[in-house]
Amino acid sequence: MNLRLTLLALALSGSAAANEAYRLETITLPAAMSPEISAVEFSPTGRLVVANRHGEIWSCDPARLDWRRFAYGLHEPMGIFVAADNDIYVAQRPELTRVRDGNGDGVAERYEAVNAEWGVTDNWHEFLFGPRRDKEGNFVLAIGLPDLAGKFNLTNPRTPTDLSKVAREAKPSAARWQGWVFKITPDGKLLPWAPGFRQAAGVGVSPEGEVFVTDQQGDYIASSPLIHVQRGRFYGHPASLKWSEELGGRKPTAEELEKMRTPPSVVLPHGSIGGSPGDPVWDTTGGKFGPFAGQVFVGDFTKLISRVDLEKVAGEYQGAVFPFLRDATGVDAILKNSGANNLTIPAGGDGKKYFRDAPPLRGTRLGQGNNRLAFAPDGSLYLGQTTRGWANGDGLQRLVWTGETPVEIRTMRLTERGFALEFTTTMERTALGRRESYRVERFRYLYQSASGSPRVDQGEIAVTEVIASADGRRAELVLSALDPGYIYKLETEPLRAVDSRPVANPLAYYTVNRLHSGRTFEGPISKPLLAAKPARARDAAPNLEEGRRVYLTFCVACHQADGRGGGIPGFAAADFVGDPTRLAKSDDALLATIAAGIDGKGMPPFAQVIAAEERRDVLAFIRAAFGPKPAQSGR
Amino acid sequence: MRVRPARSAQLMGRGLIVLAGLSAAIPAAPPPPGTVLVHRTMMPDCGPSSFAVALGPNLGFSYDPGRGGINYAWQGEFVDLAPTWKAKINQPAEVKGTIAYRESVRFPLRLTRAGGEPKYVFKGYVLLPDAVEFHYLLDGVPVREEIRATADGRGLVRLFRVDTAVDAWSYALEPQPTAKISSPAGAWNEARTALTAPGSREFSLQIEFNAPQP
Repeated sequence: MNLRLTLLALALSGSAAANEAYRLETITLPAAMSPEISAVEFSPTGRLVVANRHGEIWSCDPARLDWRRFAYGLHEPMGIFVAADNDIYVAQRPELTRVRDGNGDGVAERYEAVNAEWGVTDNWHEFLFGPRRDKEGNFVLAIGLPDLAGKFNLTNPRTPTDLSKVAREAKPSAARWQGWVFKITPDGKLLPWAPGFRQAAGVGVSPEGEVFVTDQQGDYIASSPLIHVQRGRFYGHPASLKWSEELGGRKPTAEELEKMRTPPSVVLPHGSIGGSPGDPVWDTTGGKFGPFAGQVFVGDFTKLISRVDLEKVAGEYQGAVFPFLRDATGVDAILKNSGANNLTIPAGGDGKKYFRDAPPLRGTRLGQGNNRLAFAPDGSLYLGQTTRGWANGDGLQRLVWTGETPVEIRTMRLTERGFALEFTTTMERTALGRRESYRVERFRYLYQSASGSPRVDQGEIAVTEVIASADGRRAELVLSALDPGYIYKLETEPLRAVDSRPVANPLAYYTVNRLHSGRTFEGPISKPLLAAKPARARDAAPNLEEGRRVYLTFCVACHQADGRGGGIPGFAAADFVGDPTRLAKSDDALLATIAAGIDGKGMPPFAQVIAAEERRDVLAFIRAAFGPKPAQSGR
Repeated sequence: MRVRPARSAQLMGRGLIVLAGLSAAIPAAPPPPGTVLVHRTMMPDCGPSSFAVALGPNLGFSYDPGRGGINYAWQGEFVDLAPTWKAKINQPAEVKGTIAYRESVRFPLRLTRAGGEPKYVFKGYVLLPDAVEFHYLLDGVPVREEIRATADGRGLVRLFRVDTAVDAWSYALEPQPTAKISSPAGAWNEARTALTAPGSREFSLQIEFNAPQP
């Protein structure tokens, strides 16, 4: 087979439906290309351009997949901006670099340093994200904090290095501007923009030119968020404050950090809406991707694409996040383990249902590591996937709208008394107007140095009234309590469109930072308002339903619902089913592991996230669900 | 620049020709004679994000964009980049050869006869068919440094160029037990510094590795 035929044969391999409204396709990459896709963009002429973590840039006509390597030898690029087919800006670890083909042969020979005024130490966690371009022509970038599990190379530093910590952060900002979002002006100057980031792995600029990033759950970041980044504000992780000229080297107290911090625009609740988000991209397709024009799509490391509906309330962005596309693995596993469809998981002892999933995909499966997203000129959404060390499953996929209108909650907006929902299609009126069709609860996360946060101040909120529109497209929910500082969770399980199709993703989380009056949360952001549940006696029997809830909230992303760790196979998440030694350890040993984590293996410490009794509950659930079953007597 | 087929160009499983430096097929395989390969990566005993450069199949060197100079040069195959790619917590690449030349002085090039340490700013590089040209500023003066293999492939030729003639060129040379350094245009002083006459826009160094011991 000749090269041309081979390339033509690298056709889109996936044709099965993701659901009725969207089709998921897997794009076969050339054998010579590393599939660790770390950047996806389209050139002004419509060419598909990708970069990978081996340092290459490839491009092709997306209809022909006639891939050609444009550049190589870059140091782990994580983003590109394609100015022209022969002129690409790339965020590689040490530098914003302009890569150009000056002689017209289609291959770059010029690699020009645009700016490199931040510090690098070769630590594995020092990724450079971006570049996105704002309306003034500045490039927006973010550099992550290094990780103590890796080495620091302090040889020949180009900026000051300093491994000390500012507060109780797990990761220091080892060199200048690490943990910052910054801009590079068109003439190559660095503008520090805002500190307080842990690992802002997704950088976006809205159609209005405003800067947004996603950050990663961990110390001081309770749950991964989408953040509207405004110049000079502080977004929570203190390590980067080391380089703040305003502070001049002074270390702020914990109380000062709380006062300085700007809350994230939209929280993506950990476990329920992924665990590690990447690029936010705006649907600017003008309807080619379905009924979500202007909304934000966020890829996640787990097999998830989520959708965000932003609005400005009292001058600040906030809004709702919805699951948009999730792989079927979780559904299959839950069916296998519980015998129940995940949409109808039996309620727990408290009558609550805790885990939802999108309808199962058929055929092609959504991959992991959805770090990079880009809309193509034809309106399809390309998904660049890289998972190194955390999983297996790199590659490139795309989502194509089939033309059928999906049944979804299109928008969820704050009102004076609750929320206004708009659906993508006409809903069945009777259910639309019933209070029982909606279930609302709320919770808060804590701002703390520990990794993540438990959900605190949880409580169910009564829907006291539903005002459905005559056209069946809208419903206004009046709530018994509406306060700033909470994440409101909405489930709409029984709702169906007039054609009987159910809501594809009957789940939303709205982050209420402000009310329309401008009122914000006035309580302590690092402490719960409500007293914790009374502790059970240490010798009380574990609550399996509570353990199931904890598992599906905190554990399922890595260990998967079937307990086999298969969702992130390259990651060291224990396979409880296939490896009997995992659960052969004593309860004390396993509880210690849950509490302290396993350094270097990716198992985070949960001691400050999950209460001791909940850790006992989840261990009991894991043993019951995945451990060896007692021998049954035959007939 | 054209990517040339590797010396042992071959058809792989799916019929693609393996090209020099294509990472998925052969991680950093040495390039054919007369070609170069440039990877920015983690190099052992170098500053962050240093360069690994192959000049043909049997000569390599590392350039340090932080220090401003060649960290070391070696005879042998290129580098194994797999340690930088294979794990979440990556490790430096491994040099596949015998190091014959080393530098450690920060910014060893001077555009003056004397003076202090200049301000060095790395500005990028250009891939040439059989060489690489690094660009940087020394105290604001743009400098182009072309590095290619000697004719016999057993050393490096470094050609420094500026657009406006400078007062003098000098280079802080260090003792090299396994290499000989010469500068055709320069004289040598006791400080092991090569100098050229005022008004020159070019300055070159030739680094020749000693013959291997029998």
